[in-house]
Amino acid sequence: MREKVKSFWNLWQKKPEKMLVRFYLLTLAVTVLLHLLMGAGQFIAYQVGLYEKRALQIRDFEPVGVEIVDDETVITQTDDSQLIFNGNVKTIKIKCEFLQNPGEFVSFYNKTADGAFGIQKMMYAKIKNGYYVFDYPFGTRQVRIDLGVVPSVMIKVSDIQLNDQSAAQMMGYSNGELFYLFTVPLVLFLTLDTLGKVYCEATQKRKTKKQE
Amino acid sequence: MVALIPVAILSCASIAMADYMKKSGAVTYLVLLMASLNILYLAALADAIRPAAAVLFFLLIGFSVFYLVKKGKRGTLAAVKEQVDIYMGLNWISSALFAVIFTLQQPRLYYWDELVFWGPSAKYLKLTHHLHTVGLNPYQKYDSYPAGNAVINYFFSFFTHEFAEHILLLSYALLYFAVFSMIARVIYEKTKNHVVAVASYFVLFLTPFMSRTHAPMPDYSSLSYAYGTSMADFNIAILFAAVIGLYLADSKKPWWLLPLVYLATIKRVGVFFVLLAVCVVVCFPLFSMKKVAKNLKKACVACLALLLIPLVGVGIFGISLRKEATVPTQEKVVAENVQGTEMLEETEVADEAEIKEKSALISILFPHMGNDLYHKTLWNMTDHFQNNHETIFGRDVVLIVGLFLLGLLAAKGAKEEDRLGLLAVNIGLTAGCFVYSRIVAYQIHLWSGEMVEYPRYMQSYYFAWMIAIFVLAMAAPLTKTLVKQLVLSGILLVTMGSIAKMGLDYTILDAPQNAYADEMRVEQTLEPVKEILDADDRIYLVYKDLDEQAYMRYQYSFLPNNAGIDTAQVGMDFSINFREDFDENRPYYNIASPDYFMQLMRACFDYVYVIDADKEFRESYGSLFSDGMTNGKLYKVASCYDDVPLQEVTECVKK
Repeated sequence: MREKVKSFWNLWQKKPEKMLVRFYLLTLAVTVLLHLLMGAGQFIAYQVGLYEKRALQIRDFEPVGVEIVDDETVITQTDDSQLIFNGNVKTIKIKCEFLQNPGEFVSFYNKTADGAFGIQKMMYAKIKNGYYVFDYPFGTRQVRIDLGVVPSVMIKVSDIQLNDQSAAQMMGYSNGELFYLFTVPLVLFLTLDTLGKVYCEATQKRKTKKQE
Repeated sequence: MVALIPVAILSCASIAMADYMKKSGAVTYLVLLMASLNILYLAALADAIRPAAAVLFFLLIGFSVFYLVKKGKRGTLAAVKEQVDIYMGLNWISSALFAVIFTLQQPRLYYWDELVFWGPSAKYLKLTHHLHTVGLNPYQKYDSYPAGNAVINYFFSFFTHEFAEHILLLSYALLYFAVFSMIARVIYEKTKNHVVAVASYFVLFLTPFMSRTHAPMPDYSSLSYAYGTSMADFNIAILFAAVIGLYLADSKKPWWLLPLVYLATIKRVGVFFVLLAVCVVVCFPLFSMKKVAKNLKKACVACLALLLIPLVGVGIFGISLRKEATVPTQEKVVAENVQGTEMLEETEVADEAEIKEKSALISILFPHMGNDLYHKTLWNMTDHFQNNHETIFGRDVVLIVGLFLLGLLAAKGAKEEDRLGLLAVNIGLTAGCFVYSRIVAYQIHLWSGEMVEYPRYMQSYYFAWMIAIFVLAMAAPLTKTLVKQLVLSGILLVTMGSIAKMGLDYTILDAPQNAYADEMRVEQTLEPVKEILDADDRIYLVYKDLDEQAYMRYQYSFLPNNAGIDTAQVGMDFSINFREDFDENRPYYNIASPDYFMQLMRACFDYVYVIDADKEFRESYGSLFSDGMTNGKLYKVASCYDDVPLQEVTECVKK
């Protein structure tokens, strides 16, 4: 085993650029496999009905401190107006317009569906293609959407989509993952190379000392 | 992705050039890029950028084809791939990666300065093929601002028809990658170690993420860093490093002059960095222990010659941009209203007093000659410098001490004959930081002394300094490879850890559209309006405060149309002026009568677009609008309707 490691290390040192390329290919292969597995898992979850993909109405939410005027209009009544949704949730996309500045637009979530929400499980709305998007982690069973800290704010809601994700989105790479795919293999390679060299140099020094 | 076409063309030409000149492709790529940008800049000054760009790309393609044909005839085509090394490969992979990400993400501009100058200058040049000072447009008042950012966007977006903000941002990234790959190649040539050189590339690649001001903010407003801004502060640092890198690549060839010239065109303060780069480059031969007398003479001659470059560059810029031929002559318009005239005189007196209040430029070097505001700004800056954690690591004072010590270590690792030169460079960069901070203080005191922009301005110097020391340290032949690798590993692990902790969704790479949602909304709103307009239509914008970002957004979105309030470039806003009795809800009041208002509309505008009129404007001029004035509508300035001369465009009014 020791000899195998030594010969691998010698090959590494002889052609480090080839080893780096192999590092990248290995990382790519591992990430592709992981993505396929995770994506497949998500896809299956959608197929068996664990996550239901559909359009929602305002009335599907439980209002707290919110006046529901009609199917497209709500008005906040307090400085802590909320809409609560119960069910297996992966994403909620809301297309709406705040007629006044609400101060903030955040969502809390939990996996226990017991009404307990905490600051550790909170996210700000992300705007993507005209929608406010909340992406929740796996296992989320209850969400609370806070409509801001200002009372008497009118909100016009034109569309709410529950769990709207395509197969490509489930299995594909995000921009951030592409960035990590480019940088992380090199960092790992360099770290291992450096540690190996430190070990070899330390071993060499020990041998030299012993000989002396 | 179309932005990669110039990358491909440059790459082919650089491979050919590398073969002929026996240099590395990574070096010749940057040389060709810098030469191209300088040529286009000069062509823009001559108001001929479009034909110049066409000829330039034709020549680059022609050169590449000629080279390949010649190689093919000799049967040595296979040898072409020997000119391609891992450093060119890193440039291509980084460029392709960012092109994909930016095409998918479509990042936008949103910061105040981006909407006021950096975006408009690039957009105007792209859409009209003229610099922002040529022709009648609302950005002519920035005619002393150089247009290097607009030229680089023009180069990389040459093969697209429309202006795209993500290509402007991408063009900066493509410049960075070219410089990083050149520097990595230089490090390899000095050390003969691929691991150190490739790792150095990645450290440089991650430098934009090292700023501490790049922090998670709920409104994602921190995207102004890490490849996410069109402001040229970081470009200055990169170009400074490019000068040093190209000098190290080959000190005998004058290639390092090319980024020097471009550095003078990227921002007004670029001239300071040109002088600094000249000093750094001159230090090497001046303080080299070999052939002192010969080097001294060479250094002095080079120094004098090079000092002329920024002066000539700035001079050419200042002279050529005031082109009379395409700017129509306008007489100065004065409000007929007596009250307005008095207010105008008071404003002129106030302006004069304001001018007197500013410190003389000499106070940069002699602070005791500055005024109270300048001293207060210096004091605030000293406080920030000593106490704030705003730059890379620790407080600024800690950073500077750290960089100085690192510079000493870099000098220690150099060859004996180069140590004195590097020591001089180190001392020079430290002294330069002190001078630069005075320049920044002077700049800030012109804008009421607020420290908002202090981190951004100072980062140009800190990153320039940091990258310069890093390059010299990694290229130092006597420093052990293992030591270099330990340093590189440490930097990469800490930086990647910091990025992973913050999350990439607070960077331009994966951020949502929160920061620029308003910009997108304005553009969507104006899309149908702009279809009605011709390119030379002038639009009067109705808005309650022209110092608000909303106003800037609309003005920028209407480009290339001339949109604003003073679009006639007559120097005053003739419909609104400052209140004497200040009311924070309405600091302006109307001074023109409805008749006079219409006289001015007919003389200077083709359309009126109402963004958001306040009560007083509505009461004063509402009767002139066909529907009484409605927000979000476009009105034609019609000559044929005397009673209601501003006709809503949907009523199909003929021009």
